[in-house]
Amino acid sequence: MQEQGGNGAAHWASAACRDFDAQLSDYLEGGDRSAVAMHAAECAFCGTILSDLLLVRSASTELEEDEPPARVWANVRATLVAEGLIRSPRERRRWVEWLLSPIPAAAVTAFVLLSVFTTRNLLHRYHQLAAQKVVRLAVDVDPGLQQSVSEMEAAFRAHSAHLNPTIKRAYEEDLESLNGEIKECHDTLARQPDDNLSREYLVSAYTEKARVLESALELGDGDGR
Amino acid sequence: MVMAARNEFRLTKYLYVPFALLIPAGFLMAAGQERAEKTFRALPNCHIHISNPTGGTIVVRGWDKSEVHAVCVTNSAKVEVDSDPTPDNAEAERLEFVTHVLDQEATPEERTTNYELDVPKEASLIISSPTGSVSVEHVTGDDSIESVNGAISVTDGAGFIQVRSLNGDITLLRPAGHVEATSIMGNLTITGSESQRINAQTGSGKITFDGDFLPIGDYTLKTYAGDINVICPSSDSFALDAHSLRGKLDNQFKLNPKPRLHSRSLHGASALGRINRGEASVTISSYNGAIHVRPRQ
Repeated sequence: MQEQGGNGAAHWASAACRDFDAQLSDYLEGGDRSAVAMHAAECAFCGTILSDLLLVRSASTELEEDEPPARVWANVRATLVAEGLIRSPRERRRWVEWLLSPIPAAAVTAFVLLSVFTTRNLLHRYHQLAAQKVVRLAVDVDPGLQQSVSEMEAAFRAHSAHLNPTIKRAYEEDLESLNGEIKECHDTLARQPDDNLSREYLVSAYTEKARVLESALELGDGDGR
Repeated sequence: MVMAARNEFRLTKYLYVPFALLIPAGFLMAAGQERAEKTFRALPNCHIHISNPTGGTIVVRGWDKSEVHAVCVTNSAKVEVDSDPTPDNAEAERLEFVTHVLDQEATPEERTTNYELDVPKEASLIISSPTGSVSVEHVTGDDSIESVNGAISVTDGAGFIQVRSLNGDITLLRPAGHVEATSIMGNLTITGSESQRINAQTGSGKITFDGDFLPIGDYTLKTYAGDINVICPSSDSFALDAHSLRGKLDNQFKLNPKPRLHSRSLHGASALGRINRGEASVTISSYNGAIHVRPRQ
């Protein structure tokens, strides 16, 4: 994002570096911004920024967990702003000149490395907490719903003799099918507690079972016998 | 005299054949079938409730008249149909048809009642028929239809179509309104869809969708064990989020990456991305079933 002037001091190459800066977010989000990569290859400073950002992104994806909440990134950004590392483009030229002097450059490099490792640790900690939460949710799928379903099933068993045999058989088949789903989801979650899809299907199966039982009990009160 | 009578029989016996073929139908009616036919004046957007807990078919067709014409056939005198218009001295805002069992000793066959109704096409319907099939055609008001074992079909529905059959198949032809279709073991077939919002779910049944994904539409197709087949024009613009935990996933569209779209599970097979501009939202998921998404040839 810089080029050397005649006296060796850094100054901004306004067009290319500003374009790089403007297109960087899109490029990192998967947009087609080939100019970003080309400029990074030509400009050492911009190339370093891009490689650092790619390193952070790569490190976070290796953890194979969900996106951290927006507040984590907001806190990182707030910290960088508070430390003066994020400034408006107009202010940037002055601090870059200062930044390139030896002592601040070393301090900033150390800070950037520290930030990268701190962020990685924060992310790792976040993912650990998220995984623990998943396990807890998997074990505690709405006990109130499970209790209601259990009571409704007992009522159905007690009154199903009054139902039309064809209808009774249909309900029993449905309940058997849903019980199979519930068991399979429980088994899967026991092995893979981070599997959101299994948890989603488990809750869905319990909810559906409640609806089936509700329908059967309503019908048992009418003429459907 | 005897001979004369015999000759007369010989001469005319072939003329009796067509009448003899009609005897079974007449016999059935005589054995207990009862037919009731009524016409009610009704508002164009009237609400019609039909509750037929004893079994039998229900057919409802929309027409241009502000009338409800109902034909109800019971299999025996051990059941009856009550019809109740509200108000009863003017065009009905609400009409209720309910089958009642008069004799609790009646067999399931004797309880069967069939309905055939012509209703104002803007009418709204609430139908409950645990064991019989339900067919609704050309009714543009809202439909709420429930069954346990019966098949449900809705043709050219344009309102909010809420259908649920636990074990019966559900067929929706050219739906144009918001669709909520659920089943446990039945198949769901949606053909010629012009709907902007569809939520179709079944457990072990299959889902077949053949229609358009309209821009800003929202579509969810979900099964537990059944396969899901989706066919739509290659020009449709939608964001696809398809996932099968244990089944095969076959997507024949070219996907463009969509930022910030993440798989809902790290396990199984998934397809995520935009097709064309990615305007509609299409979510397809199955636990054990296969998913096929392909353009219409």
